[in-house]
Amino acid sequence: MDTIVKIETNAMAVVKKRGTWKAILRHKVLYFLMLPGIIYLLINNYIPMFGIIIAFKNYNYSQGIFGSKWYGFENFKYLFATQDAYIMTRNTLLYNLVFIVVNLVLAVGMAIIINEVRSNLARRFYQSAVLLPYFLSAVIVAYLVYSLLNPDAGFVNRYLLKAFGVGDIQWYLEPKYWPYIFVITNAWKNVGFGSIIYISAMAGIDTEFYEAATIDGARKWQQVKYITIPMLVPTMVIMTILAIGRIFYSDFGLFYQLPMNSGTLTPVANVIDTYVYNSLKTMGDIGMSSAAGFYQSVVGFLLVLSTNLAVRKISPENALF
Amino acid sequence: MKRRIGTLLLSVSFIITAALSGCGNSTPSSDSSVGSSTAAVSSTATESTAEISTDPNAIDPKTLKPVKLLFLTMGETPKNLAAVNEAASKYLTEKINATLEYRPISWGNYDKQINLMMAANDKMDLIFTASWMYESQWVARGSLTAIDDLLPKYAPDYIATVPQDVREAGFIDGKAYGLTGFKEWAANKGMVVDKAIATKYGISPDTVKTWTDLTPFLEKIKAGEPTMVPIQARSADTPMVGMFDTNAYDVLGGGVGGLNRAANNTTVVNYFDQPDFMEFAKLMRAWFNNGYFNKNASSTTEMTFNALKVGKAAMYNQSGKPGIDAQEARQAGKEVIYLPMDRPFMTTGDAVSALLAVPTSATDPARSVMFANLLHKDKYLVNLINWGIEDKDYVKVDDNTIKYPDGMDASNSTYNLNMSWLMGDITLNYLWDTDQKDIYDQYKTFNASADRSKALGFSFNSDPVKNEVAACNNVINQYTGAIYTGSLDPEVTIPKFIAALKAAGSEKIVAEKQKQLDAFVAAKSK
Amino acid sequence: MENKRTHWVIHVIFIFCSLAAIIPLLLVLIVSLTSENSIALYGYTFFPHEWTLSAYDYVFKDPQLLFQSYGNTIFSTVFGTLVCLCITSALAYPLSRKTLPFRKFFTFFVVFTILFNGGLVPWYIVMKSNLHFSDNIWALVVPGLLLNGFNVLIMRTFFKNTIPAELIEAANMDGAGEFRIFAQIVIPLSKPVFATIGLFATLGYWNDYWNSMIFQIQPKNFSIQYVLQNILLNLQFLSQSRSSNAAAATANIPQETSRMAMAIIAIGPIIFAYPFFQKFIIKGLTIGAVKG
Repeated sequence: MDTIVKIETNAMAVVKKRGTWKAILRHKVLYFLMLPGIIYLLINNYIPMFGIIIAFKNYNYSQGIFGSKWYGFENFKYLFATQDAYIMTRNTLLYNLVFIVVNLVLAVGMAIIINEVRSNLARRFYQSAVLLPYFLSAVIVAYLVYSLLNPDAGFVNRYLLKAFGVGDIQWYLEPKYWPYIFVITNAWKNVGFGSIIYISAMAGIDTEFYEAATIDGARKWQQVKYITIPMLVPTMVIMTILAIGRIFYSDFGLFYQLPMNSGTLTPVANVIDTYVYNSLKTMGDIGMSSAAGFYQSVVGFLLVLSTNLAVRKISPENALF
Repeated sequence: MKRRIGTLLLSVSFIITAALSGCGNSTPSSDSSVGSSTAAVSSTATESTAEISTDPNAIDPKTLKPVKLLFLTMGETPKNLAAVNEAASKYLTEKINATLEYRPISWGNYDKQINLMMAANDKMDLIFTASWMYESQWVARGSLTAIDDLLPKYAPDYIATVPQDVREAGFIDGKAYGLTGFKEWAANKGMVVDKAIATKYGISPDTVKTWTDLTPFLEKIKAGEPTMVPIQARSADTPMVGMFDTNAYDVLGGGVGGLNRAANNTTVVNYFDQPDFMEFAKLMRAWFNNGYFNKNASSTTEMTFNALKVGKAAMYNQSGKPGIDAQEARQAGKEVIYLPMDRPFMTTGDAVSALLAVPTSATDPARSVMFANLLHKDKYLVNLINWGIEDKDYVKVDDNTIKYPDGMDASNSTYNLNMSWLMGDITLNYLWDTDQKDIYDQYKTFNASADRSKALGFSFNSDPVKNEVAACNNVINQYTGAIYTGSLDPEVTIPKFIAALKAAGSEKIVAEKQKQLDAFVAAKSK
Repeated sequence: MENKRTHWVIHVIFIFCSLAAIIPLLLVLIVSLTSENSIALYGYTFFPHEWTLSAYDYVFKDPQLLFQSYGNTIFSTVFGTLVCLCITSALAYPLSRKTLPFRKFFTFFVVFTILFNGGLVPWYIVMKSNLHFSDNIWALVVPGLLLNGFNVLIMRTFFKNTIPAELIEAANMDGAGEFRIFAQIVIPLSKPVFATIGLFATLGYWNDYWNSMIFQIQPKNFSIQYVLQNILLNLQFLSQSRSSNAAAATANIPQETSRMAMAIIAIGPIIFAYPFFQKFIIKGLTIGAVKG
């Protein structure tokens, strides 16, 4: 009895292996298609990953990477030791969560609404217009915001507040307004660009769905709710998972340039990337900055894995891998 | 796109990761000479030139192997750089059998670029460094070669022109790593004042000797000039910085911990926590409350001299050196006077503000030193590299003065390097027709009259307390802007600041600075 | 039924958004045409006291350098984008096919590169010391920008959700080879995503100054963004220079307005190139790309 089962299992294994091998051969053209990309990623991304080990070493040029002394987690300490470290981590996390939600809703919303504009010309004009802020560098945006919020001659203080009879606000000395300023500025800059992905995804939706729905008497809003949004879900899921993977990274330009060097805003403007930059400005310590990068990557990676697992349970075809 | 930002950040934080195995310590294949960082290098180099007579002034270039020197500093790449490199190479071949590639790297990218090249062990023969350009870090990370053995033999002119205490100021742990440039080595702090305003209200170095002397004049200016603020400031750049940095303390490289200049001892204190710091801050607060500062002081990034240019302000603070009034007059576009608030003070930071160092990836350190020495001796070479080719990039007015050729000015100059201050001996340069005639003498007097700090030559190595330094940097960043511009009440803010510093480990830093300083003093007195 | 009011609401929303986007850019343009003194005195305003072209004069002071760098950037952008589209789609399409063995592994392989990064220096060493990308046009094309996991993922998701598996199966049964299917069926149906990734790649190349900073030595090999950035950086530091003749020069150089001028110069070409991509992205929206 046992031997028969064993022979059968072996036979099945052989068939399976032969089956896999056959499948590979059947798809060999596809593998060839992937080859250039794989090679590029290997060379451009994977080989340099050796650098990660620097985070754990007390790096010395003359000793090189493998000769330098092992340092364990010493280089990571400054990321956790102080109250500031806790604050900047909290800031990074909270801002990114808000950004992910706000930008997702606005980008998808914008894509859907823009689809409803009837005039082709108007549609193209609006879409181009909202894209423009993306091209402005953080420095320029900082100056623009400054021209609004400048305590001296800024538009808001000089005209807007006066019109409402409110006194001057020292914008750059009051932390409490800045979470809103950051969220609004970030959305203004990125939503137009982010919506492109959803617009192109929507372009791939078969119009037969809409035609059938109209025939069945569905209203526009219902069509959006039951056709468009579900068909955008795969894209939304991917974009969100990727955004979660970068949850410990921030737009350095945004958080560093907008506050115009006003240190008083630090409790709400310090994120991991600016914290690292300020810490290491006078020291240029390789190991410590490498440690920061590693920390950000690992957290993002673990979150992506867990989010992906969760997604896989709910709707497997939308999972990343 | 987003990965871009990741790599940007890593580099902005000066990430340097090492080579793959196999690239770790190998020397670039350009030349056969040695490339390791130990003293073995200098001895081998000296061996290879042992056949020459012992008089360094008579080195016969034919006995030297030909070497290509890569010389790196900050700067904008001039149009005619290729021609200059060619002429310099021809000249240097005759002198030391070396050719030159001088490569200026744009400001803001210099340190990133050098760090990358160090990590990849790219060949570099002579680079610019300074107390503020990572000299002690680069030494600590083993990327600069000690050249004590090479200096006496190959840099006699350097030794003759730069005084010993200044030379030794650039030593790290008693070893020399480069040649200090001859320029001003001290600084004082003070105010640049619009000359018309100064004359109108009677402001001069006789009537204003200290910062507090200024107050009555600020009041007068505020009353008499409705379109002007008396002082233009921005958080990094207010009079308060001058008050404690240099005027009152040798800040020992910055951050936490410094020496009280008046006390003239070697006790390291946290100057943020001293009573005079609070006094200065209160003065700033009073000035701010009385409207003597521009309202946007804590958030503007505009250069302070611009305000003088358009008549929005009457004065701003500025570090002093010879010719400062002429320099600032050019920036501000009008005549100014300078009010120094104390005697010049020489600290390590000021003395080592330009150093040409030899990296460990240099092909032949001896040759690098020879070249650097020529920058302290050879008038032709210095002016060639700094100003270009005679009659093409400049014309001579007389023996020692030059100006632009006809039709050329600063905006279309074919050789607009303007880095003469970091290239060896500044006094070897021709004077421009716009320079003060006696400027070099002014340098010498200025340097001679400076008080020397007890910690001259001491360079703090932050490695043992780098976590505390990182934390304190963030605290300093957060609090000082508002304190220096008087925007917040110091009685409330400074205690918070000090508490935050203590929580970040400032006392540990002070203790470490003290420890290293004591060791330095002990070693010096031997 | 169409609701007239909804359409008006939509238009109002978009007019507001467009203004919010255009007005700041307009301000940037106006500031770039304002005199530096005017800015110092009165700050940014839509009605400058003094108009001038001096900021642009300054930025264009070395036309030869600018033209060279424009040429470099245009070449690297066009060539790089085309190659990028080829290898990105070639990698993304197989990953969208459910039947591919080890598909999960390869997807992970790609995604991992988005999350982890070895750092600047090892990348520099591999590209420069080992592969000798240095001071030539290829250093602007190949390192870093030619392919990234993010683009691959977007394309894969599009292929997966837009190209019906039955279509491919049918083609297979008709005897078409994989490559033919890819080239003749999949690509024509994927115009929107090709336009999208083409846009992303174009932007990536156009805005890049990183590669120039790290790999290029001679100014004639720089990209346009790097040249512009250098102009600004050098100006900033020159204004603090000690040389008397340099300081004399910078006393009159427009600093802030040059910054704005450079922003306009940098954006300009994109604004012209964008409608080209937009055609393919938007067109599909109401017409529909995939027919049975």
